[in-house]
Amino acid sequence: MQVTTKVSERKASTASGSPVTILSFAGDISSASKDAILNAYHGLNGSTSKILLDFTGVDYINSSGIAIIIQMLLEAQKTGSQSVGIFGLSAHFQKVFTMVGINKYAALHKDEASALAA
Amino acid sequence: MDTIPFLPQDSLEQQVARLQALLEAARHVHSSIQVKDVLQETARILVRELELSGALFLMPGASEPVASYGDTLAPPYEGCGRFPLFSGESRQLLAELVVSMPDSGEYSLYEQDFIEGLVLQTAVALENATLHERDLEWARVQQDLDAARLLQRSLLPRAMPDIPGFSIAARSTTCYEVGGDYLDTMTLPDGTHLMVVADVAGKGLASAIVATAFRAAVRSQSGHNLSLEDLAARLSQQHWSEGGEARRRYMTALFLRLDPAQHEIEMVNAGHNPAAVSLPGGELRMIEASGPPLGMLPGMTYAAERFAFPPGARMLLYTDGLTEVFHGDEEFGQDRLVETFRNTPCPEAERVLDVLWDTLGTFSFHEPQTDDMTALAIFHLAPESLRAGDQTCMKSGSSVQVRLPSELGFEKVAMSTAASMAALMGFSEDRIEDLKTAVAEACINAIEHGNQLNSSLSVGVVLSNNDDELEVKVIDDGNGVRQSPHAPDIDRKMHGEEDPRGMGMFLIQALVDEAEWHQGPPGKSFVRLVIRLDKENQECR
Repeated sequence: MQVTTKVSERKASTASGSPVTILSFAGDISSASKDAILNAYHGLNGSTSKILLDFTGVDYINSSGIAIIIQMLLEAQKTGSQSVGIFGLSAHFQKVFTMVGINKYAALHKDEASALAA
Repeated sequence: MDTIPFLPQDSLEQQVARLQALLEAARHVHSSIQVKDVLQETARILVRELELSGALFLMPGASEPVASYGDTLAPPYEGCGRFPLFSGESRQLLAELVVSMPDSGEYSLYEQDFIEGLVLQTAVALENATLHERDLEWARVQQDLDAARLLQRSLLPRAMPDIPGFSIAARSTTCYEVGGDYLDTMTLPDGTHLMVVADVAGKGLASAIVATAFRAAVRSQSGHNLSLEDLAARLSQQHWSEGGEARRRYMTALFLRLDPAQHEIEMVNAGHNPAAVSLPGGELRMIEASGPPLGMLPGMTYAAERFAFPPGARMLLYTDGLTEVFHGDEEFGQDRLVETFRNTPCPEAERVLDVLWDTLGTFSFHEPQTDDMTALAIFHLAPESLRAGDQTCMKSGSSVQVRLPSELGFEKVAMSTAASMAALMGFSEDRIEDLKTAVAEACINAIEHGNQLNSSLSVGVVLSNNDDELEVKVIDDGNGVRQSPHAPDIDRKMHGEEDPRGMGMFLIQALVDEAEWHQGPPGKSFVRLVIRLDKENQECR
């Protein structure tokens, strides 16, 4: 009964011109999102150093979904070369992500423009 | 006399024959339910059985005999026998039998007994017939009253004026079938709105007739572009001129003209309870009477008050049926009414009238109302109320129950239900988001941990609102949730030292005002969450 998560990948560049890979999520972020999110992450080119997670199309995130994001951040951190940023969260989920401490490991931005400008 | 005395000289056969004659006569008399038929039958039996020349019945209040048989007997009925018929319990005179004397000039003992015995039976039959006639008459009156009630209801405004930025509601309940309260609203050609609340002295049908006539007068005068002062003076004079009967049914009235474009109200109070205006800064203004009730005295004049009615202001016009509600000897009173009106936070006029009526019902222990009750509430919506759009208030004590299949994903059903209920209670969007996440997490815990993902079990969710708080109980069919909430340590999680999951209980506790976990036998374990309205503007703790 869980809504599947759609993940799409696109390229962009920061204000300073460095390449960025944006993973856009749509649907719900829950325990059912594990394969969709982690497979998309694992499918990224190994040389990708800056990743942005786009939550604009996401309405519902639960703690199991957050755990998957944390797992992804953990893997990204292990590479030692990848940085991850997040944008498109509602005010409520920005609050929730801050409460669990995700902001320590992934910068939270309001929208894509401010994420690319950072 | 209940029994027929048997005369010693009569034979047994004669006694039996007389008894049978009387029983037969009684049977005939009781065979009809119409007053006239009962009396007619008795007169006929008497004349024929006793071979008398004539008999008739007189009834109180009737100048002519109501029934007769045989020769016409003429007043003053000299030389006739007269027998009163009394009702069984009250000994009230129902009718009088006038019956001619036999040629001998006096009744034999048998004749006397027969007449008296039959009179007793006839009195019973007559009482039954009278009650029956009264029932029919009452049914007709009731039908009339029902029709009048329908008519009067149909004359109430079908809808309140729909003015952008304003919430207007009215309610009128009568204590009898029809009432003497009058409520009306008309849109005038210049775009202003004329509203009237009036109360005719007394209650019931007579007051209702006056109220209906007054409605016609207001409606015809309102087309003449009169000032409110002139409208009140003219209506008062017109009613006074109707004469003494009408003057006894004088009326108190509030005339109000709302100018939505100018945010202004003009009012005339003619002998009515003061109208309450609550202004956004907290100021309370009472619009007192500027003259006596309409139609009580000739040549009366009235003064209008004009005042600003800015966004956030609200106003209550009411009849004394709302203040004169009693609990024992204690009256609800104007102060309590006005305070309840001002302090009900809901921005929707209709809901505030619900609250007033509920409060009055509770105060009087839901005793039947003793007077007509009419109120008109006008709210000039504050910008925040406008933003809330279709925001409504919910009565305290409402409860909603949802049963979910124990399958991940269904927590969203509980989540939306809780969100809808919180919106009805007036929670802010932020708090509703907090609640949604907390309820979803509680349901996920119940599904995953309490019910161990067993899809044959289910999760119960009970949402109850109590005054200014919303309580949500999430009940699993399993053994509840054993852990206790702890703050996630993101560093340990990021170093793989702590399970990345297990944040649900922490989030629940952080997002609501109260959270407690109860473990019990299957079906009795639950988590109880509470959010309060007064936390509405607070950031998350």
